[in-house]
Amino acid sequence: MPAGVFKETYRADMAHLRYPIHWAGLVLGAGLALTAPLYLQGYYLDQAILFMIFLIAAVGLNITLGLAGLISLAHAALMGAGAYTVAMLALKAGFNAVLAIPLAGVAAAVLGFILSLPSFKLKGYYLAMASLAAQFILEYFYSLLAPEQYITVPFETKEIAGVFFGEGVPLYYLALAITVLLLLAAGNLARSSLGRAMKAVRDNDVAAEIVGINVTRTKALAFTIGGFYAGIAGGLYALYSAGIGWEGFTLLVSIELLGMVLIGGPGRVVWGSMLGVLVLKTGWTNLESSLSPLLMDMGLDIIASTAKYIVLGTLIAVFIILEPEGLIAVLRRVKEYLRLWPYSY
Amino acid sequence: MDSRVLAGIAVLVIIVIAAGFLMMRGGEEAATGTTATEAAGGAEAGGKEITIKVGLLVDETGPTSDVGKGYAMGAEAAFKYFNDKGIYTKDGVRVKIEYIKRDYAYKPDQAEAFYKEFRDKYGVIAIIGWGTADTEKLADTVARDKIVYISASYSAKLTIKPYNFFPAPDYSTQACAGIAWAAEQKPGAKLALLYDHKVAYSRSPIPAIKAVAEALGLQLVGDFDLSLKATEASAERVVSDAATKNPDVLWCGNTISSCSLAVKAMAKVGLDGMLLANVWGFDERVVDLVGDAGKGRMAGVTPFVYPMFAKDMGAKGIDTVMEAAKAAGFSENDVNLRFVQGFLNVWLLVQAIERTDSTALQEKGGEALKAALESSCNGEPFKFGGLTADDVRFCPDSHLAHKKVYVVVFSDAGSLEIQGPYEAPSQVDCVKATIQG
Repeated sequence: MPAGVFKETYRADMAHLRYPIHWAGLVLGAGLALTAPLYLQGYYLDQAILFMIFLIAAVGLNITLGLAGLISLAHAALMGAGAYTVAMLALKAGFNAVLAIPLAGVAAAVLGFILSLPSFKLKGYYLAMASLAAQFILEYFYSLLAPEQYITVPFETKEIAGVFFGEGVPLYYLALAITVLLLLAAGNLARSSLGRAMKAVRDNDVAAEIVGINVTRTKALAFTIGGFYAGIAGGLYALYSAGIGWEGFTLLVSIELLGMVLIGGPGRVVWGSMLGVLVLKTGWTNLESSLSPLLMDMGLDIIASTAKYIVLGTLIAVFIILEPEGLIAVLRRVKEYLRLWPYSY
Repeated sequence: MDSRVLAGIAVLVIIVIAAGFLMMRGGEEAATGTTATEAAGGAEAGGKEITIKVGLLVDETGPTSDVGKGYAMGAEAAFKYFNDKGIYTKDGVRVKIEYIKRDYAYKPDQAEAFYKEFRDKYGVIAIIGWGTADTEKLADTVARDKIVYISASYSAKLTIKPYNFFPAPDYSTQACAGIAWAAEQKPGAKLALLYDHKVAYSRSPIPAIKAVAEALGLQLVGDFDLSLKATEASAERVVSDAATKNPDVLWCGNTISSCSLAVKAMAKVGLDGMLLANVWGFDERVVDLVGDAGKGRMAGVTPFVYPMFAKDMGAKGIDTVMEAAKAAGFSENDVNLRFVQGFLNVWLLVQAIERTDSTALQEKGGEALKAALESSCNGEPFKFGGLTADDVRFCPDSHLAHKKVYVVVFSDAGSLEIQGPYEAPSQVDCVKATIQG
């Protein structure tokens, strides 16, 4: 705690903004986010939108995995449920794609609840295997829904009052508003009784049950809420993309999301997820666009095509072994060091 | 009311006002962002040279890389060759093409990400593209962005999209002509269809094939799911299934790797039929890939002359291709059908540039290129020194270039023989059959 700042009430101690630096961070962050279209060109604005979409999905997985300790390898499939809900409603029923986003969340939440059923009996690797099976079943189902590899979401369904929400500034602000709302909700969830129950189940489910926590209900909620976030992310992705297909929601995407959570900081729902997505999605995309052509020019095509997975695998292994709390813990140590610098303690 | 709630409301109001302001501003930017000067990417008309940016989207590492590598080599050689030789607009202004290459490994989502990079980061006015799923998926977006998209996908669905072009008949028309050829060889034959049921490219001509087979009196005995990434074992299983129906003709709608495995499997299970492959399923390499198993058992449709036949057929365009290949450091052996396909797509773009004037190119970008390509409808067709089965014309309502294909047969003697050109039968509208599904 910084010197000279005292908290006299529980409410003040639990506030999101406790220290002056938090307020400064909020003003700076909000300012940067709100004015992003002024300084980000089209391509980078697009990257910002994609960042927010994957951030929402990663937050969802962080709730399921980081808070409740339930391994899910089907998170991309849940994202797919949201995306297909929006696409099918828009394409088959002429439903407005923007307004269908909440339904995408609900559809994926229902699916998340169904996926939670095995977790009542299974945990650890066995639960991971069950979710893996769910991922493959859903992938197959999606391939039946879109046998041509894609479903286009008609442009006209992406408009509200003449404003096109399929890309650019309108989509950026829509994604920003949804992201802020969901991050606030996720931040509060982690501090609520439900969040504490999830942590208790994660740390020791038998002990949690003994102290009166309904473990079954908690696990079901962790999957359902995680699914809701994945669905909203998928719905936004359907809005962002010219068309969606099962190949956008494969096991590899699930593993990428898992990597984002593990590398960013499992259990640190907002900031951990944010760091993970920043490194593995935005950072990698920008690195890849310059690294891949370079490797290909050097005749290293195979490395260029597999570099992503080599890096992803290495990073996951490094963080699991050396820093299980993720990048957020590394940053915390840096922050503490700088706070005391030049003294050692 | 709590002061923090008031502060929250104030922040929300500021967010809404800021968003409204920037959305209006963004709209203005989008409107000016499509102007040709920006889209043309750093024009220098004063210096009598214009630089335009073009995206090159290829698959060199994904499931279609067996044919994608050669295509990419041909396209790159063409860019280098025409840039060095000089591309001039109608009014004599030199145009330099700066191309940006990306390997999307046949992943439609990755293709879209690269498309956005091409458009938003580099401001390209044209793209030399690749696969069916990604090209079809992006077709409405490229039309909206007014970016000319010349693809390696010859899907029938693209012939009605305003900004999509390719210098060949669509897959459906090609397949119809091929099936008509097969029906001539084996009247009343039993026909089996082998293709990847999850891949848009493989599925593309199937409705047209079914329609034309019925019209020509062929008996369709079944659809069999042959994966684009088939292994010897999986190909053998699929062919064994097909063999139970005793087909005389098998259509292979995949690329050369899986089609070759299917022919090998035919020999192994003792199925004496003819396997007719789509344009990407057969080329010069089958002789080595399939060996004796393919002799008298395999053929492929192609709307282009194979380099090995070009000289005898008087296709002088091959000299241009060879010259470009040599200049780019490729050997004669590197120049195969795939190389030619990549080369011709860029050549088409170059010819379109030569039909525009510099002002239109700078001010209208892709729109000017589209007009130039469609000027062939009632005007001079695009010619490629005899390398295409027919001259190429694009009309505003249909970008079906022409309707002719050759059939290349892997003969009993073990050599490749080219036959044709053959035209798709008139009894069936093959493009319509595919579009209507």
